Amino acid sequence: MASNQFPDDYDLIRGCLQNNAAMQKKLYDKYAAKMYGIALRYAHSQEDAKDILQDGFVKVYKNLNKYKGTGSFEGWMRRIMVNTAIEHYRKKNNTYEIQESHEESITDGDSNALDKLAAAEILNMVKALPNGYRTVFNLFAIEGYSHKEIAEMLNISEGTSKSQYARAKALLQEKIRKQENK
Amino acid sequence: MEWNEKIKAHLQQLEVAPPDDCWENVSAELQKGKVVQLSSPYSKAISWLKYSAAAVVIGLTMFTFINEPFRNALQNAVLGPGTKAAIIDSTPANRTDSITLKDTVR
Repeated sequence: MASNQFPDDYDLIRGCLQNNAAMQKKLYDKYAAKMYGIALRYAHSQEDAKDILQDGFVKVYKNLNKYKGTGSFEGWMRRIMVNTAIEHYRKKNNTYEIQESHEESITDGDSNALDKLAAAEILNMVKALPNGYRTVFNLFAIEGYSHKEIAEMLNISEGTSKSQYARAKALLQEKIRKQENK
Repeated sequence: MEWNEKIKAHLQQLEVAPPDDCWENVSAELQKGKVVQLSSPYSKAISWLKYSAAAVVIGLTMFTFINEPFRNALQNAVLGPGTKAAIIDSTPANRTDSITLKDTVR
């Protein structure tokens, strides 16, 4: 959806703060697809992704008065969605799966194989990763957090974050190779 | 382009239209009033007023129980002057009457 058909963020925020239902809907329409994309990356199923999206949006509306206007509004919303996804899995799983405690060497995969895949196919592969691997992979590779930050966010050690990322990447590369050979 | 960069490019700006009922659920949650209360500029003032009113009521109740002259004055103001004295005065008289009655029966 083209974003120029919507009012700018300042007007949307102001309208939402005045509890203007039409503006709330416009804000949702403007960002829902982007935020659902994030939710899908962190969720194991579509139902989980829906829950993350809904909870995330409610938090956005509730906390709009805390948005100071420094940095992009979309970036602020993305952080809320990511935190909601983490909370969601913390509640569901209690702890993150820790399957490897030793650090593995991270090899760079065949990046040409990625070119042949559509985003939806890669998304399905990410979704199929075990919860802990998927969360660490998203936070490190897509959101750009450091392993130290991820360790604090997920209450795991830095070494665990590194090893989970390495395993996630290895699993993804294996899936991509299999897909390529089909 | 490196593997990491490519996968990031594929997934970071991924846009997928959510199911239609998502907005209905978000909207229903907003209508519960949670957001209205939190985003209202007067919400803090209103909650402070509530706490202050509760503190005044509790303070007055305690003061009334502790301070007897104030309690009597309040009673007189509500029930009319001399009400308490009338109640106190009437009690011994009744007791005497009942004793008298018992004595009569014996």
